[in-house]
Amino acid sequence: MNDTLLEIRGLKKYFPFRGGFLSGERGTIRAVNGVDLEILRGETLGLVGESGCGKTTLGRLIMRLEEPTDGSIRFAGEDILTRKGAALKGYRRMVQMIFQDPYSSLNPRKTAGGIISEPLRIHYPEWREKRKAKMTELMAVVGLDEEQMTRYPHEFSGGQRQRIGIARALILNPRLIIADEPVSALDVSIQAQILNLMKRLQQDLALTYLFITHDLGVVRHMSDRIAVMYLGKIVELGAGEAVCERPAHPYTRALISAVPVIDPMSRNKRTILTGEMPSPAAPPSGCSFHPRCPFRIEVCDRQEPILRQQNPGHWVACHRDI
Amino acid sequence: MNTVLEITDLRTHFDTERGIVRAVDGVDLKAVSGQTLGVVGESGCGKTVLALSIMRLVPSPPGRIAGGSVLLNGRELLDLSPEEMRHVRGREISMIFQEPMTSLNPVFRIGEQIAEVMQLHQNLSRREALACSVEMLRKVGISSPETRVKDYPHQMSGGMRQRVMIAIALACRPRLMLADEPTTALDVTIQAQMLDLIGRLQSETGTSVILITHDLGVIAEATRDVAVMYAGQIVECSPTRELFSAPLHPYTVGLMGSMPGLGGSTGRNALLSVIPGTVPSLCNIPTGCRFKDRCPDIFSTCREKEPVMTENSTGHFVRCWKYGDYR
Repeated sequence: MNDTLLEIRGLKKYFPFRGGFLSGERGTIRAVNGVDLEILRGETLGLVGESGCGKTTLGRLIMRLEEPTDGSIRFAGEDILTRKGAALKGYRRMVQMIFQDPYSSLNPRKTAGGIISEPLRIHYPEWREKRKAKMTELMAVVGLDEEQMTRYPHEFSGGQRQRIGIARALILNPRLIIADEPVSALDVSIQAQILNLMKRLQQDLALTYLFITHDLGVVRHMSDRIAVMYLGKIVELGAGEAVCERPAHPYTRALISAVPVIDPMSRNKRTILTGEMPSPAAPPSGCSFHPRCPFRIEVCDRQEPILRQQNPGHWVACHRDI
Repeated sequence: MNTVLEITDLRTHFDTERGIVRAVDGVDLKAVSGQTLGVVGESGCGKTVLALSIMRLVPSPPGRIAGGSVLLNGRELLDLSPEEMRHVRGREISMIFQEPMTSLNPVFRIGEQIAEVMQLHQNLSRREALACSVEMLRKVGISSPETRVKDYPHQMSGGMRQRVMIAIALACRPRLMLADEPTTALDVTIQAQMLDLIGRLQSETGTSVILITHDLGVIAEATRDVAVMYAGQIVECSPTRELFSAPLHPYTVGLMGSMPGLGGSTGRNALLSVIPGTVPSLCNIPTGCRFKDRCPDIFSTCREKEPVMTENSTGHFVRCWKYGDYR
């Protein structure tokens, strides 16, 4: 299972923006600012970070819903950024996405069956007869009743809608699923149902997941490896257990200590970060975390740390050996 | 231990085309002065309507408080005239809402929004109130408050806006603050700052807090007592430590099992325990126990009779036929 399915090198995405009202100043939002990442076949890679860190943009770049400013993305060894037309369509058959909001990501004027089978209509228009059989098969796989196929999205609960979204993503037999906050909008008891479903599907269908979330509990539960993102960069990458139990980057430490512990007996003294994430339009010099870092040393505001391997498989972008 | 707020058999119903929605259906609750009481439940369980009922802010029609009593320091809030109630809100009870984006007025400077409460309730002049609002901003940890009072809400981040909301809520040192999902829209690191701030200000001012949330982690971290709400009712109520060490109600047990934690439950094949099914519709409440269709421990009584709240051990109440001699 140790071969690379997706390889990202030096990926950047800058969004230009105009300044204040009428002033016309220009600037750039560095949403993704130099990311190197590999997704291994069959694994779940958790991508965790706070809002505005660029994790959603990274997911959209992989889907080619955004064009990168710089860098390369290779899928199964092949460059996908140069693909166009039919070749790009072929790539999209192999990579599918599950979205955060099950309320706005389903077309309200289509039936559940129509939504689930739409990818087939686009990618395999010749399959007219097989389409319905495949759709009912997928509905059963994600735990929906066949008779619900004529219903519209508003007739379903949040959890059921997310099941529709999952069925739609799976109907083309993709190899990589990019799940962008798939359970954030759901209640805990429903969230558990969806997480279990995703784990089961991964085993049955040999799927690879890029699981994007801000919830550290969810990411720990789901992921084999975890990448922590801050201000457009990966600051720590390693096995799920290592990152959560022995976090090395000061940001990861603060992030983990900020998560409320489900045990009132062990209310530990937390490292509470001061301040907020700086704007990606004007990232700080040197290490982008240095203004909030309790461990900063003199070099931090001058030189940008590179991601280096501290222990086998555990990468950290920090000047210090903590 | 003084009780600051005592709710008895509160019922808030909404008249809709599909029938009466019993959003709050017989809630009993006590908040101890100077402490934090947590109310936890999933969406649609009635926890926000409970808070709005205490504030008497339920939109009417279609909503109405159908019965019960809400005593604030022994005074019945449900009998007050709208005029009297206006003096209670902001001065004696205040509220912070989930959305710091939408609960501030976008066309007023934040200094004026904090000052407004003090001008209304403490008869301060505009100038005095503005000076106090600088002080309040300093207290909630906003840097350079002298210049920040002149900002408009859109110039601040989500975390700062929630700090401003807390400043408004605590400006008149109310006896009780209702916080409805105060950290849900915020990132974890900002959430930690916020819970820390609420706790610190609370010990300074002696305000009691009712913290409404869906997040058991926040409950464990920030409350002394907790009430678990399900389908319009409190199903379990106990000191927080006891709820987590020995949960009684099958719903509470299920909720805790379905939380993915940072600790265990990680192996590739580890599954979360799941509460099957979904919450019953509040306009068509089944007979018997409201949790019966999702409960792993169901027996015959559950189908016929609605369980009553019983004290299982001192201070630990549960609404379930499993406990007591009914079985």
